[in-house]
Amino acid sequence: MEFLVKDRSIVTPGMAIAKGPFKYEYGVDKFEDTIISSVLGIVYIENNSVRVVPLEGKYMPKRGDDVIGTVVGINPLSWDLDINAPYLANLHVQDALRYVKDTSNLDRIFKVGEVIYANIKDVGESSDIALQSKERPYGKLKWGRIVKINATRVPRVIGKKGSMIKLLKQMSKCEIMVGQNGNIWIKGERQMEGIVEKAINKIDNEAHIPGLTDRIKKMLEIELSK
Amino acid sequence: MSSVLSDIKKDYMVSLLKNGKREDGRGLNDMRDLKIDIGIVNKAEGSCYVQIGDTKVIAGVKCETGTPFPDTPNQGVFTTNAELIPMASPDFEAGPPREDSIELARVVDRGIRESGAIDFEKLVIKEGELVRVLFVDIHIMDYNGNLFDAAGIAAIAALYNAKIPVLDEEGNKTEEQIPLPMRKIPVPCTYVKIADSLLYDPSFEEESVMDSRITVTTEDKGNIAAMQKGDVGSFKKEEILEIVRRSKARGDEIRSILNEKFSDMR
Amino acid sequence: MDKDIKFFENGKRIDGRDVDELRNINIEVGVFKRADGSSYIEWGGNKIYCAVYGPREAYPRFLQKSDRAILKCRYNMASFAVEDRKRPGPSRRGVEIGKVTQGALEPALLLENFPKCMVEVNIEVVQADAGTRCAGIAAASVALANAGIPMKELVPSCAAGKVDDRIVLDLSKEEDNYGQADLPLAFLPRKNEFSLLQMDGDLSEEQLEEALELGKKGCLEVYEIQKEALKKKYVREDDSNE
Repeated sequence: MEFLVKDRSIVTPGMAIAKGPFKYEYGVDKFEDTIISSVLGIVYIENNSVRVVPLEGKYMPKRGDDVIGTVVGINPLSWDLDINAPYLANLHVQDALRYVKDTSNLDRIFKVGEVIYANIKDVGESSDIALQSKERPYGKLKWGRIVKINATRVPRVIGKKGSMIKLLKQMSKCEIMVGQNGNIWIKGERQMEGIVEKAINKIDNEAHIPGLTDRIKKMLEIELSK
Repeated sequence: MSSVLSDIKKDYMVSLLKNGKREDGRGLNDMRDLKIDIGIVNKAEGSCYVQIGDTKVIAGVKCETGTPFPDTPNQGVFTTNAELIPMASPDFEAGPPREDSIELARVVDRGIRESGAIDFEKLVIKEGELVRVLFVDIHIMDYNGNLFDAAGIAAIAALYNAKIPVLDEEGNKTEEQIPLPMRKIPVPCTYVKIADSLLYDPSFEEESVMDSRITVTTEDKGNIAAMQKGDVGSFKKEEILEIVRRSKARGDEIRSILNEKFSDMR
Repeated sequence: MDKDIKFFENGKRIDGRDVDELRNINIEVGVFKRADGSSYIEWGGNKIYCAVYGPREAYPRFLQKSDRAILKCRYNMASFAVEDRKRPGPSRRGVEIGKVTQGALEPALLLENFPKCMVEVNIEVVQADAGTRCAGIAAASVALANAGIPMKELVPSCAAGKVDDRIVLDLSKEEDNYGQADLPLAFLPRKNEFSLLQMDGDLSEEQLEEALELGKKGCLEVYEIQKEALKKKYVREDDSNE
């Protein structure tokens, strides 16, 4: 494989990034024998393969992802949740709780505006997103605060083998739930919540600059010593 | 599909307010950063871009000639129009102006008209026959709360910026240009009430959880030229008087910023 | 056509440009908070904002397509953008430009990734100075990229035209008003095809060929400006860190 751009460079849609065997992934496309970027993003070259991580855009739901969504609508037997995706996600009453006695008034279970931590059960062919929230830790989230970042930067908030999120939790003593869709819930001491929020926004803005973990650690140390 | 604000965010905002704080770190009576750029559209007779925080509006003035209204033969004609274009919010739709944009335009219009900001008699070319017709058009570009103040400030600044051609007796344009006959600077100040707290310059999120809203437009002497209680909800008499007091002080501050800009212009 | 108007002086156009020279173009990316993607373009005296919303579920529902997203383009001119006040609200001209803008942009977009959705492009002309549709398309393509919409390539756009029997690039207001032909174009650089083509005036076959070539050259220059504007947005964020 012949690479036409450097690892971690910013590419615009239509830019040629490599020549060689093409494997479809979100963010790349093929033109004749050239692999081109199909989004505005950062190029990652790994083991003779190339992918482009978008810098902008909505969350693309995947089966198995954990997400945090807001109830925006109530149907006869399900709820519509906004999960920052192009489509609303659907939580059926049977998938919401382990036991439901009364389905006559779903408003009594989850109301519009309430925030749910859920797992994507399935993404249908016509992009219907089915959620489930039966088992712990899934379910309603209360209090604390929600930080919204671009979904493509979520892996950086988690870090290699969970190193970043561990660092954040340990240093702030906050409860933190990370939705793959870019919604992050933080609950703890008010001031600590604020520090975590600041750190997460820093990760969101600087995700593509190397040395991130060290910078965040330094920032947290400075903030905590204040 | 309109935007729904999560309960977690609402609870968080209300709990901050109990300690006199706001989500963006402001005090209850603080304004977001105010940016005023005058004369950005040279095709317009006058223009102004106003940014309050992330809210962005552009106002433009156009001047034509026409016949006066029969009941005011000795006054020029003045029209304010506002467009909540779909650019500014995922919830705005294209098409003719709806309730919200008409209310916005009328509140801005009343502040300017009732304060006597414009000497309408000086806009007469031939009494009862030919007068100047002024249009202020307000474009909302990015809606992040407090459109009334942004639109009102942009409109008055665009009017002060306007230069219109001197007309001969038949009403034909000459080369010479003059400013509009401006006399006063009305400034609108908008407050919202959330959980019994009064907040100046509401953000988009604050407007989504507000119990009620009020706009007070004051003029140079500190008198009130226009008021509008907007949206649902209600205010106590003491709250109204408190807001009026704050609006006067705040109006004076913004007037002095505008006055400085206007003197730079001349 | 007004014979008294002078278009050239000492081999240059009246505004000092060569026949194959664009006016000054500057594009800013990410200028609005609410929109999913946005841009601002200054092109000569044109001042145009663009905001993109989506992809989100299309409504009314009957508009939805089961295999792809639909693209809606709205072109609007502020009433104070031109010499004589334009009546606010939709105009026939605006509706047509919205439609050809959609036609120019859509071939480059990968809309099949988002069945049942819509992507909305809003173009708002705050000051008009000839060539607003081309400037709008160039700005819209950048705003679409800023919204993260996947696409085969960016779409640059610019006009060619004829004044004084000569083919020129990017008509000025006077050249547009009093010239002999206007040919607004959008060009897909990788596909090597035109996705916007309108023409009014009078051109011979040879002149059309020359104008298409010149227009293509102009589009490729606009393309470089678009790419730089997008990259600059993120490189600047780099610089702001320690």
